[in-house]
Amino acid sequence: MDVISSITSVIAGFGLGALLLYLTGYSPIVAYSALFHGAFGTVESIFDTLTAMIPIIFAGLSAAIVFKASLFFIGMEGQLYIGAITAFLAGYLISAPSGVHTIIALIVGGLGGVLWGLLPGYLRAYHGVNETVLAIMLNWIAIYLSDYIVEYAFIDPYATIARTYKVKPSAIVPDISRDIPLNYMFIVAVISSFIIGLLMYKTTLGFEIRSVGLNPIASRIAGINVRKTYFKTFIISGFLAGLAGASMVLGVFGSLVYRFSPGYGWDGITAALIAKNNPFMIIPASLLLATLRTGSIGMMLVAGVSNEMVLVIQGIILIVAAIPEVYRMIHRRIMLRRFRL
Amino acid sequence: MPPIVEMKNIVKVYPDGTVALRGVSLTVMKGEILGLLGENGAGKTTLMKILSGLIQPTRGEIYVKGRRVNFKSPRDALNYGIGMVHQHFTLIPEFSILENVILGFEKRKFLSIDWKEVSKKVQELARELGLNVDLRTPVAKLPVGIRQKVEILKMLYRGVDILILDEPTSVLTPLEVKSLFKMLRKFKEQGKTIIFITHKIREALTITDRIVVLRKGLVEGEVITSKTTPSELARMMVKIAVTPISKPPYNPGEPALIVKDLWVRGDLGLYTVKGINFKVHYGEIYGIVGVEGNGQKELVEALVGLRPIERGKVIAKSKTITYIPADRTIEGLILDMPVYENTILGIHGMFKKWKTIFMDYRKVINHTNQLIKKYDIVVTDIKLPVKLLSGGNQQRVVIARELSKKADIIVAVHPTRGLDIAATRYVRKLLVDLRNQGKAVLLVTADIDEALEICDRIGVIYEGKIIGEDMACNFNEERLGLLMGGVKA
Repeated sequence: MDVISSITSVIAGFGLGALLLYLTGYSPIVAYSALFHGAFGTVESIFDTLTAMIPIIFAGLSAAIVFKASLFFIGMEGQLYIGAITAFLAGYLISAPSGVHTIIALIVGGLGGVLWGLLPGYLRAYHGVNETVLAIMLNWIAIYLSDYIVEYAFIDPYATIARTYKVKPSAIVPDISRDIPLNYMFIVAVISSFIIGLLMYKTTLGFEIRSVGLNPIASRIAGINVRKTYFKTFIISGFLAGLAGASMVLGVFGSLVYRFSPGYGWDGITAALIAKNNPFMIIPASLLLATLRTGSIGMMLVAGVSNEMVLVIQGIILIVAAIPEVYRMIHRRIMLRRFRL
Repeated sequence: MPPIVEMKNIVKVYPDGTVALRGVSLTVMKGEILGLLGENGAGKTTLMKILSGLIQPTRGEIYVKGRRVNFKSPRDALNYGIGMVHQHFTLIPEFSILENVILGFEKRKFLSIDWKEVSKKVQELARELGLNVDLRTPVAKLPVGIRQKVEILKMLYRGVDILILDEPTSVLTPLEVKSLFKMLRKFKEQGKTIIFITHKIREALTITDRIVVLRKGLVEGEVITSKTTPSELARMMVKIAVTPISKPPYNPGEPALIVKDLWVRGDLGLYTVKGINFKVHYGEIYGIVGVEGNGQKELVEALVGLRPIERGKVIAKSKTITYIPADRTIEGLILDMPVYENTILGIHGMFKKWKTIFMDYRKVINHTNQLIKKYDIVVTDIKLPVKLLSGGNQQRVVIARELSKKADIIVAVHPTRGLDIAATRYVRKLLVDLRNQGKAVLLVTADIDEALEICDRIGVIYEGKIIGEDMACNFNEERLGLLMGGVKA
């Protein structure tokens, strides 16, 4: 049921986008074929698309787990930057044998995301502060903090782009093989979505998160510690969003690059909504998001669709695809507010 | 005289396949009060929702005032003078009485509402109804009894002369019921027709002229009120003989739950429990009886640890207290979750696989199947969301889960509300069984019959205080009703 509704809404999104392209004088067929050619037309473009999926999957899982708890926390973009910063610091400052260093740096990156989730998690769980507003504010603090690291504290003065020094080679996430320009974090991301799936549907914590998300009142009365569950949710979600940033630094750039994320945190949120917060569905949803990221350049260059129009088409596809879940979440919140929770 | 309403062979199948009505025919005469009696799920409300245009029948014909009608919306029904007051009120709490009454039927003057004209008209109708409240009062500030009269006022304003009332007394105090009945009789004198939906035999006998009994989507019988008896009606409703619940003599043990000078605040910060004292012994059912909103909710929440205690003490002799909350759909169950997950809510920690973080769902399903057997829960598939179960079966799920926690103190709040006769009897018998097993049962109820039937001792709660406490056998309906209304006799 959920899968069918997801697919239908994605198709509807592309359909509406096509209509808009047609009405503004472009050929939808040319534009969309350029989009898919840009994303999958060459071997390199395929691997670019798969690489772009990595942070989106992590951020998507991060969003799915908080949404499952009916927390509308949208701080993944900020957590992604903090994860990137801490992973960079661990990769640059610590010395350890390669492999071990990578794992340490990744974990530190994840913990960076956790750190950025502690404050909103605590305030939401124990003081009922609106998590959405907190998330938006913390996103900006994180982005400017990363600007400070990149442009001032650790700036590599000889680099041609605004970036920090490179992390130590021992901290780099290697590619799967010389012929496959795709780093190991792709596999970790796919495995993670299965782990989170197991967590949500097969463990006591997952049961608590789902219960609290569907009805915090009944959960509390039956004896579940709702606040603690909220807090744990924030911690796991933060770790995943932190990993999204860490995987970019250690797997793609090798350094912290100025404003490196084109909005992967937000893509993750959209992926979660399209996937109806189902961890297994995050992978195909991330593929769609990554396709729109890497293919849009093709649409611009080949089909001559203006940059702004590309953004509009992307937006339309995503909004239509995400609407059913957004509607469901808002509906549930209104229902709960009626009962003062 | 031809009937004012005639429904012929009405069949209603809901989209999910539930057959609510299996061919019901009903005639209503002008100027009568017709009782529509039946258990929950008998189809009373569905039938009236069809007559009031809220839903459409699958098959069947409806004639109103001699004309064949086919209502597509409540507004179509209103055009024929048919209006329904629902069990759950449809008023906007923030709006004043006047605004609520005219909502959707405003008389316009230029771009605004002709307030002068409408308030004059509503005032007149209110006076006829005997409703002496300032029409500018926001509905949120009104007691439930008055809110209901506002609903009726709303119908009169819309020109209704066939008034349908769905379980109108379920939220009223005994005094409010009396006043409602007085009003209905006045309507009848004015030649208006009333259809009164109820599952309470006593009420049907008091107010109606004629009673139609529905059972499982069919008409079971039709009687003239003055020529029937309560037992005949009960037989028609349930098709089984209803015998009173037998109880071994009162033989209490040690006190299990001691409440000493308890003070608790409500949601608005004011004290709603004001110095309550009582004891519940092992082997007894202690009833906290009162009209809702007199501090019962806060009292119970404080007892089970969901609300802070401001002053006083609660001493429980057993470690865990089992709590059967008042509203099963919000407080008791997670409606969107499957039945089997609802049966382990709060005790899910007992279903771990080899003491890891993983759940052993096979164990869970065994547990659920055991409860289903033990408590006769009717469910086609335990993987279906619990919201698809009937009210009675939902309540059984809550009770089954809570009792599987094996506590010695049980707190049950309105445990039979909204349940049919069979389910009600089942729940009451279960509580008596628990008492017989030597457990301490605290029953919070607003139902006088229930209190008198199964309680051993009763404390009447009024405005946050226990204003009367006695053995249940020393109470009768009248004394209990007066005390619930705050009148000390």
